[in-house]
Amino acid sequence: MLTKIKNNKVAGIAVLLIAVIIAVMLRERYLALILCFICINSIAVTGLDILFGYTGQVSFGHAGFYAIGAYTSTLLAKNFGMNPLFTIIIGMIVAMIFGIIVAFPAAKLVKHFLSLLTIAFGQMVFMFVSVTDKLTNGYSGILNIPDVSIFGHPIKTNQAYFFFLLLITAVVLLFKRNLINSRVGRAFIAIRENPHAANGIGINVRFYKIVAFAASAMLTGLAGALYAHLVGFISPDTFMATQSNLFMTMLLFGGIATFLGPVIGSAILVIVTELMQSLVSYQMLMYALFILAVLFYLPNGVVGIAKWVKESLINKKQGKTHANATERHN
Amino acid sequence: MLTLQNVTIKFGGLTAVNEVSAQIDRGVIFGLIGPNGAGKTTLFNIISGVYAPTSGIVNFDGQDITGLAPYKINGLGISRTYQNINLFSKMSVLENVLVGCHTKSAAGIIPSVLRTDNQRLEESTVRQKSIEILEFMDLADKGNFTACNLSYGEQRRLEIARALASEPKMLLLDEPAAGMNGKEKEELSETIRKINAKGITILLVEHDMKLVMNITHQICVLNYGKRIAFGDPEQIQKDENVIEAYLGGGIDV
Repeated sequence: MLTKIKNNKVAGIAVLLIAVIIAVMLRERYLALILCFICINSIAVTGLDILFGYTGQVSFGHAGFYAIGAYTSTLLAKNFGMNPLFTIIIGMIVAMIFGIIVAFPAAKLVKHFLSLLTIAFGQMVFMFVSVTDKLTNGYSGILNIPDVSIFGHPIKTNQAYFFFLLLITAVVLLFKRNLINSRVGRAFIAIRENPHAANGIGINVRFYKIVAFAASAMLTGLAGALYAHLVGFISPDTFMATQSNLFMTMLLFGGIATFLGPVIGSAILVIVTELMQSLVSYQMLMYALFILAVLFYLPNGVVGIAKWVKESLINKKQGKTHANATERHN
Repeated sequence: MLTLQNVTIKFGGLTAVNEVSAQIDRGVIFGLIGPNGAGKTTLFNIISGVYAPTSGIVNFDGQDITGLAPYKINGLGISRTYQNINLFSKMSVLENVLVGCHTKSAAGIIPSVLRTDNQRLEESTVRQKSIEILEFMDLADKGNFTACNLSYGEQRRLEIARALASEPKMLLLDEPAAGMNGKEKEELSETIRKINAKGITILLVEHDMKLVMNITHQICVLNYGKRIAFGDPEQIQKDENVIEAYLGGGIDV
C-alpha cells in the first residue's frame, strides 16, 4: 500500500514536471516545433522498434520509408489537391507496400547481410527522390506543402500541430502495446529469440518477418508524411542515410523492445540535436558517441537505467527488512 | 499413425539415414535408439521437417508430409523438443508456453492491434490453458521466471510444456533425460507415461537404456543410418545385431 502511494507520487511528480515543461515550450513557436519533432520521431522509432527491437531484424534504411511516406503524401496533396488527412493515410499504405516488397528478400537474410540490404534500400530511395526532377523537383525539394485540415479547419500553428501529433503518437503507442502483448507480438519475440524453435513450434517465420516489416514501414511512413505537412517543405537532404542512423541511435539510446524507449530516445536526441544546431558538422560524431555509450554502459538504454535504479531500490529495501529480521532473530 | 518408407538422406558423400522404414502405431511409446552418430536425431529432423529426405516418404495420419516446412508439420499435430535446449530464453516461462499455443489460436494482426472481444476471449482461454500445462509439468510456481533462469531439468520440462501447448497428436522427444540425475529421470518417466495416457503418441530418442526399456512399447534400433532391429524391449535386449552394435564384436584376433 505504502509503495503504491509512493509510486503514484513519483508518477504524479513526473507527469506534473512534464506538463510544466510542455506548457513553457508551447508558449513559443520554436519550442512547440521541437515537441512536434519529438512526436514524429517517436512514431518513426516505434516503427523501427517493432522490426529491430521485437523481431530482431536490423534496418539501417528506415529513412527510405520515411521518404516514401513524405513524398507520397506531399505529391498527392499538392498535385491533386487531396485532403492531407487522406494523403497521409495513402502515404502510410504506400510505405507499407514498399516494406512488404523489401521484406521478401530481407526475410531470408540475417545480421550484416540484412544491414547491407536495408542500407542499399535507403540509398535507392534517396537517389530516386534526388534525381527525378520532374516528379520530386530533385535536390531543390518541394515547397508550400498544404497544412493538415480537420473538417475544413486547417491546423496552422505549431501548438495546434503538437496536440494533433500527440494524439496520433498516443494511438500508435497504444496499438504497439496491444500488438506486442498478443499472439502476433509473441511470434515476433519468439523469432528474435530463436527462429528455429519458432519455426518448430508452428510459427511461419517468413510470414511474420514480412508482417513486422510491413507494420514497421507503415509507422515510419506515417511519421514521414506527418513531417512533410508539419514543416511544409521537403528535400532529399532530410532522407539521407544520416536519418536512418539517427532513428537507430534514438532507439538504442532510449532502449530497445520497451514501451517508452522510443519516446525517451527521440526526446533526448531531438533536444540534443537542436542544442547542437551550431555544430551541425559534428552531428554524426555525436550520434557515434551516443551509440558507444549504449554499447559500453547502457545495454538497455535509458529505460534500462530506470529499471536498474528501481530494482536496486527495491532490493535495498528488501535487504534492509531482511537485515532487520536477522538482527531480531539474533 | 506415422509411417516411414525407405527414408534416405545424404549429406554430400555421407549417408546419414539409409533406407529406413518403420511404422509407429497410434498411442504407443516408441523408442528410437542406437550408438552415437547412428542417425537418430537426423531422422527426427526429417520427421519434423527440418531436413527434406533425399528419397523416401514420410506419411502422417494418411497424409504425405515429406519435406513440408516445420511450422506446417507442427500445425498437423507433430510437436518436438530439442537435444540441446532451444527455449525462447529471454521470455518468461508462461510466455514460452503461450508461444506454443500459436497453431491452436487464430488472432491476426488487426484483431490484436484493436483488441477485439474475440481476441481477448481467445487470449484468456490460451492463458488458462498454458497455466494448466505448467501445472501438469510441475512448473506452475515458475510462470513469471525468465526461461534462462530455470535449472537444467526445469528447462527440459519447459520444452515439453511448450511442445504440449500445440496440442500434438504425436510428440517427439529428443534425449529428454540428457543431463538429468536419477530422481529427475524417474520423474521424467512418470511424466512421459502421463502424457501417453492422454492419448499422445510418443517417439523417444534416448541413450539411457534403463529408461527406454522401462517405458517404451516398441523400439527401433539404428546403426550407421540403417535399421538393424525392431521389436519390443525384450526382443531388442536379446537381439544379436543390437548387442554387437553396442558392445562391438566380430573382431578377429
